Amino acid sequence: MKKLLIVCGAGHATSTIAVAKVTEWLKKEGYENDVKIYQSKIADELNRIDDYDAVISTTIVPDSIKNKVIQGLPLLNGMGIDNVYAELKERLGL
Amino acid sequence: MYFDQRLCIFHQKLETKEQLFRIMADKMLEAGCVKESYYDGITNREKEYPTGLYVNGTGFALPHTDSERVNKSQICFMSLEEPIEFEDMVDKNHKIPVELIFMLAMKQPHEQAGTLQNLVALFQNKEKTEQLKKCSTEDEFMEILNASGIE
Repeated sequence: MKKLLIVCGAGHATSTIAVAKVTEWLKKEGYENDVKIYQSKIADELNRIDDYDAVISTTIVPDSIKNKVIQGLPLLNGMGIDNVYAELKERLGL
Repeated sequence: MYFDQRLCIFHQKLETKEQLFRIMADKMLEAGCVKESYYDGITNREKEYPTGLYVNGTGFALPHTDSERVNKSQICFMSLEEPIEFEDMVDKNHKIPVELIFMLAMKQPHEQAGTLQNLVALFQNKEKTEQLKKCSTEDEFMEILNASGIE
């Protein structure tokens, strides 16, 4: 089971939307049993970011972890959403 | 349920984000949906984690804060006559001219994914976004939302 973390600033608004979108996609692609999604606020996760196989953020992330994080804005504005899924697929090895 | 108090304010002419937050937070407070500390929570969080979202040529903002400052889940809407700059939620150096604001008060974390999803789907709908900018009555506003599966 791969571990996917989805974070935003508060851990309950925009990340909720992102979780819903990604869950839909996982089901559609038939991966729903391969990935477990964790939802949180960015500040709580900075020290354990390496515990996850992939991370999506809908908020600002520090430069130190930027290369580990997929920018999740397309999940909210719909622009370039397929790129997010492609990157996610690659990072999770699906 | 997010809009059952029908908290909406149309075509405001404001100078600053702080004015905007004050008016919207007061509206939430009067309706009993949030605590006194909600305003500070909103302004502080916006500085650290901005909420500007640019979709299809329109600037939106989704200011919100911790659920401890909330009594009852609700969303307050405001449209602006002249845009006010917000920082982009993923890049503080990127400024977004915001015209439509949805201030969120959420009592439970992770609740109502469907409603929030429908809300961002509405943002992506150019026609409905234009309707939101133009509308000036509660009834019109609720009609636009209900047609998008938002209550």
